[in-house]
Amino acid sequence: MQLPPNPADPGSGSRPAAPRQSEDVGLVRRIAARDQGALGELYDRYGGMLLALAHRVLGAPSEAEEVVQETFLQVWDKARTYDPARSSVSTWLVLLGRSRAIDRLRSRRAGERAGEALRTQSPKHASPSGPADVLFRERRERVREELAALPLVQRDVLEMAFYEGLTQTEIAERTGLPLGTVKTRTLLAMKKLRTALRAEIRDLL
Amino acid sequence: VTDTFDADDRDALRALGELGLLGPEDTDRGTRPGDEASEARVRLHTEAAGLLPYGLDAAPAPAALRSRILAAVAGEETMAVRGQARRPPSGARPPVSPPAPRAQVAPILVRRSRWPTTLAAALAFVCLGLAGWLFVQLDEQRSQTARLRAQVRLLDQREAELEAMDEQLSAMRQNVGLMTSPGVLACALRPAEGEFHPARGMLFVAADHQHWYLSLKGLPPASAGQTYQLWWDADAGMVSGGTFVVAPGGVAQLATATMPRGTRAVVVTVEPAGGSPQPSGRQMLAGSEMQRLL
Repeated sequence: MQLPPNPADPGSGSRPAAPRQSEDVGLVRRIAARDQGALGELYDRYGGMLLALAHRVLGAPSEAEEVVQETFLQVWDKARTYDPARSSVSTWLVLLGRSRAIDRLRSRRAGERAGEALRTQSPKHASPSGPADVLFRERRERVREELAALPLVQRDVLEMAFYEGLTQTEIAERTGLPLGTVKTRTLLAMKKLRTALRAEIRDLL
Repeated sequence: VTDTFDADDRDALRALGELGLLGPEDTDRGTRPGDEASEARVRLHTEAAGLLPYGLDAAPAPAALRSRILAAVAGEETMAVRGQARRPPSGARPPVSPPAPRAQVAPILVRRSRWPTTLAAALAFVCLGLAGWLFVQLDEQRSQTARLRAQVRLLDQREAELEAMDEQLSAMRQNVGLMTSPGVLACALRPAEGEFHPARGMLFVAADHQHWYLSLKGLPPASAGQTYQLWWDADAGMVSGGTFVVAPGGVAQLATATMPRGTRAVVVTVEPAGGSPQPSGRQMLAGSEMQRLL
């Protein structure tokens, strides 16, 4: 009687190594030395992804472009403060861009509740074409797979917090769930994602 | 969020707090900065969050936006340069031009300036210093990356161990659940007639007569080229339940969710490696008396 084998580790398969962190750090150092060409290169690498992020948060294309522009101008000003020990360049840019987009969303919410309507216009997964970068495509597929593998209730609270900037209390009000449940789901989603995406994270380091 | 956290939970809480996804009342329960392993785990969570937007559809970055950004940056630089060129205050008198030099009548002794050589030497010295500094920075970066990679490997290993333990715990829970379920039957397995060894076993069969759990202990390791095989004495005759190996201590724990129809007895034999279609080897254990436990 053969006992069932251990399930295969999803992160252990062979995959092409595509580390670009060292190149990215080089670009940020050049930007810190006031190299405008380096800023252009960084935009070519991450502009599309940051635009998609801002669009997902704000819904309006024109506002999304403004946020991306502000983000890259912030990169130009703050490149000297970037610390590779704290985060990869990719994550640094994502956090800068998200922060600006969420700030804008919150100030917009203060006067109106148009976010719902705008969000429905946002192309969540609508565009069939993406950047012709193999690394980005692979990463996108992996992130989508792992997000889809999360229980829906966990994915929802994580996305509401990350893309809509809602506090845990606001999520609890919107979903009708107890506050403690919302917090637990956010924590579980974060931990599962970290485990599931460890190969991708390794590429970023 | 419960009040019982392990280190991983506390690191995740801290990362969520730093990302602004949890409030201070929860992130206060997270780890404090300083511990190197904790820092590495917090960073893993941060990087995981940073990967989220990769799941979105990204169109190529617009060239017009690129031009706007670069133009804004170029304008900023130009303004900065202009700002450095100080204008005289409006009320100040214009600078007086120096008087034109008078023509020299006497021949001028031409002397080669040493400035270019000095400047070149200074530049070379600065370049050398810069190269050295960059080399040191690069070296530090490399060693830091290596340290982080080692930490990630260690964390992966720990995680795999935890997953294995979790699976074991889950299997144990299932088996305990079966053993304590209503209507469960138990059957003791003892050495077959004429056999003298310390091996014993206990078979638990759920009320549905399908789920079962068999615990064996004291079985000696099978000799080279041989294996243990489980048999069901059922309506269809002797049906193989599969081969198995024993862990150190002669322990084996087996369970599945299927049992042949009309099973009356269970037998463990020693068979050639790979198993046999019918029992042919030494019969080690057997049991046939089913007793209701609960």
